[in-house]
Amino acid sequence: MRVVGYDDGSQNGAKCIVCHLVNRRDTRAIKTVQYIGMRWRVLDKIVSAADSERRKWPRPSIGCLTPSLPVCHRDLSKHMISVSEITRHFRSSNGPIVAVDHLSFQVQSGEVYGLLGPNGAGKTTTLRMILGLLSPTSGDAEVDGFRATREPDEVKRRIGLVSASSGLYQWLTPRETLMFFADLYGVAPAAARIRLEELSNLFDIGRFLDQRCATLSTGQKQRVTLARALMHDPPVMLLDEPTRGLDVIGTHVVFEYITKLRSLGKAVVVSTHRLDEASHVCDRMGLLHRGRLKHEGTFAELQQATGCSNLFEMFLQLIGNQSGSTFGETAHV
Amino acid sequence: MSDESGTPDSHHGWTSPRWWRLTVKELREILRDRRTIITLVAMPLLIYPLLGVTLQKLILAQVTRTRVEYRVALPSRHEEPTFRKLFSLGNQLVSRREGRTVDMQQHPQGTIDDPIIELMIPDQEDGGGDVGKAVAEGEADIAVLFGSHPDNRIMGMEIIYRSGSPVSRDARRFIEDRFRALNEDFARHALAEETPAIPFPYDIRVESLTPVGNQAGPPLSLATLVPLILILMTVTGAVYPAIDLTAGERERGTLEALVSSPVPRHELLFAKYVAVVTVAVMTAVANLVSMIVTAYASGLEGLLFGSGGLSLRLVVLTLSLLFVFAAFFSAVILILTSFARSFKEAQAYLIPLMLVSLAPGIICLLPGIEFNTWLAVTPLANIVLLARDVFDNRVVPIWALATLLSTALYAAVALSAAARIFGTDAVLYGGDGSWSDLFRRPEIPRPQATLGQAMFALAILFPTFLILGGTASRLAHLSIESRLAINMAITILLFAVLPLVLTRYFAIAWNSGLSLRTASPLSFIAAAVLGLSLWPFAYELVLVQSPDRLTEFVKLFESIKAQIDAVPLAWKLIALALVPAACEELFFRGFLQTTFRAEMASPLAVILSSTLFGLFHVVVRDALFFERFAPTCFLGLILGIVCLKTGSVWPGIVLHCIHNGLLLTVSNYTEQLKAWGIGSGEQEHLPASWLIGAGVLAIGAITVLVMQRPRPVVKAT
Repeated sequence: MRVVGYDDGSQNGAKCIVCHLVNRRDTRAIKTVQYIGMRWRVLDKIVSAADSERRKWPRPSIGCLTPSLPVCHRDLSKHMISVSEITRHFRSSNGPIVAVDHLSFQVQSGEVYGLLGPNGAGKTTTLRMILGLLSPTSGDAEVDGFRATREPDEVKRRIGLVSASSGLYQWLTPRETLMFFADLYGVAPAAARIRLEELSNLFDIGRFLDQRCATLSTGQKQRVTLARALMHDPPVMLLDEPTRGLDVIGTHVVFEYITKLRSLGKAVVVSTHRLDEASHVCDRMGLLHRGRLKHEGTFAELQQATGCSNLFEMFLQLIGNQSGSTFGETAHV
Repeated sequence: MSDESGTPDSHHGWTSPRWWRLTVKELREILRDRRTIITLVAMPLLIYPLLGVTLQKLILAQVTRTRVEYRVALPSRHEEPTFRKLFSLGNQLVSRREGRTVDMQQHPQGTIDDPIIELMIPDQEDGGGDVGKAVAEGEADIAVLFGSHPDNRIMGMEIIYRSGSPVSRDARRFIEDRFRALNEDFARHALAEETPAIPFPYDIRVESLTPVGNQAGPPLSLATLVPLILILMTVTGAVYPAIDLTAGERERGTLEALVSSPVPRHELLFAKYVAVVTVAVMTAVANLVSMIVTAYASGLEGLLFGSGGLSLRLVVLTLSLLFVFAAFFSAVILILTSFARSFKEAQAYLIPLMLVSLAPGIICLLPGIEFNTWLAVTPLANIVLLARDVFDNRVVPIWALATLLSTALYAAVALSAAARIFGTDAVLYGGDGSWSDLFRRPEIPRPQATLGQAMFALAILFPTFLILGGTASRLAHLSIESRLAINMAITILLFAVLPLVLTRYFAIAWNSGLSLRTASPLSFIAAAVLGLSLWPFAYELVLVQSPDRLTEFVKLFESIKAQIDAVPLAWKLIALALVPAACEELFFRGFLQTTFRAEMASPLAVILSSTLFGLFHVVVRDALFFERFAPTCFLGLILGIVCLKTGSVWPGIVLHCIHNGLLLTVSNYTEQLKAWGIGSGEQEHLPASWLIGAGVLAIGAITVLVMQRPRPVVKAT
């Protein structure tokens, strides 16, 4: 097991040998490890002999060349999502705009985190930076130990995205769409078919799986979109305004979905301005305004910190204060 | 993981590579769209029959008024009876061969299908008119001269025509057919009577002239318009899918979900590109089929498909050209549509592009426009001209190669540019990106160039190489020293300055990007030995292929050999050995091979760079010498291996320089060597002992190099 693993003698435990070699720029040794890495059976044996408490990692891919190893540089005790001091500026004719300003928060597995704020608060920009679609001006986000700026593909592999602005391929059927996305995320066809069956039952989409997406109703399209994000069974879910444009029933489906995700042990980040319902589904919330995190905590903690009884009042206070005086530092409660 | 590399992933249960699975999805989506079907099927099915009927009516109306007329110039009245007699005989023979019977009593001028022959004879009894001038200035379509021949039994005939004029070419073909029919008839009789072999009675020669002065020229031929129509229809086929699969997808909100997946953006774009090219080619096929059916149904095939008529060869060549064109134009369109944030914006970008593209296409169809170096590397213009020449059955290999190679390179560069834009945050979210981002110097240095940057370098180098090389070869009035200096400057500019500038511009590390590291002394010794021992094999490779062509190649340089001999050996060694060796190694091994090694397996990188090295040496002045490919490619392979094993271009430069220098030195002392009994006549194989000796030396040197550990390539993280 220690043939490929490496222990630097520190208290941090064993490291991934390839990451260590990359840091040392020992290219010849990397080639040797790459050669060994090509014989995946060797690694499978190592994995099967590994500590049973450690999860089985997906097969090696871009980025860390030996993630199958039970001894890897990633520390599993860390948060599933970790955003640290992330900042994003946009250029405009009136000078630079700060969309997100030194934002930091963490989310653990099985936790639903609400990013709440008015339009233009920086919620969507934050989610896009976590996903690696937008590069931050400074700071970084980590998902499952992978940095969004350095290993965006590894990050994407672990995230399911549900966005209000997402559409469906009009000329494909839901079955074709879901199988296509399973393929994009490297799910084998046999596994994808089983997954499709499961999600079809979960979201009740079996009736229209073979109709063209263009012929589906808004509610049906929404269910397909939700199923699409789960086809590769990601450990992290990002939901960007998932209830925008939906009626009461549609909104209810989304909140049931979020509850389900929590029960499945996924780390979920929901960006929304539906404050009333956010307080019911989110374990913790971050109140965002003009790119800065103003308050963070559980609903009860936020009530205590702001002296307001509901999120709506908290927001009024937030926006009202903005015009008069500057805010204090982020209140971590 | 095989899934990342695009190879079939049997481990995951997929039987096809991922790029193909992505392409199938794109094709499924686009081909189910009714709008694609309208462009693909409905348009050709409706347009061509309609155009065919209109054209038929127009032509019928025109034919009733006019007949084709050829103006034939004769030098004097003395030739008139001979011409009339031979033409009449030939015409009857051709008519009989074609199954037409013409009653010359009733129709002394032929039928309505026969052209009118108008003879142009000078007024003076003894002639004296310059018929060549008359043809060149467009006063006559062709001129016919009769002359004597060393063999008294043979009559000499010469037909002069203008190569740039379709009417002149048709007239030449018409008259030549009649005269050749006389020879064929003679041969038939001789065979029937079993007479001893005697030569043909008429020695027919054809001379083409370049038009002089400002001629209005004949009207545009329909056959020259057909390629342009097909090209335009191919463009039409590519436009809708290109917009729909990029800007359309962004507008519908599916692009964000697509680029959120862990599939590299360039792979997503490549699938879309293949889908766009496929639809464009399908449109081209649908148009061609509809055009052929319409032409046959309306009896216009002779008019539409050029002098050779419709043939399988013409269809295959036309489709191949349309494929190359579709590959190029689809990539260009994808740059614009990938940048567009909506369907409307994409359309706004494409309309000017279509108009700009139309201009060179139409200009190239004007009579008198012929291929030259500039036109051969001008996008679109070169394809239109090549298509015209294919229809006219007069393709010139050098221009065909230049057209295909430059178009393929432009397509690769355009695709690489599109991949840089596609799915970027600026496009996805309408951020602060602009066109200038495409040309922005990278902030983070790279260990070597990307494949796209290498293609960009080749796309600049290849056309410039053709243009500058062609220009330099026309400077015959300059002294040989000046011409050598100009050639040297061109070599430095293209193969040294260009990679250095690009390396700087793309923020590539000098040492790793151009393999400029030092090498061990043993590597230099081995390279020098190889430089001394390789030339006999290169020489034998040329001989084995085609000794006749070698003689032709030697003849090409014979005109300047005397001049070159007068140049001091030191100057020749600098101009023809040191500078080419240093510059070519810097580009082919330093820049290209290093880039290829980072993107593909080392053997493939060596083969690819040596193939390109060989191809560049095939072009000599305005001609192609494919015989040079094998020896230079062989030398390129050895140089590639040397660079691979040493990780440095320097030993390769030594090898290349010694190889070239040795050949120059030997040619400089040919006479002395002959006096010593060394050297022999042209085309003779080298003595076996020489080959064995050189082989032993080369194997020894290669063994030394192979035993060295190859320098690994540093890849960008």
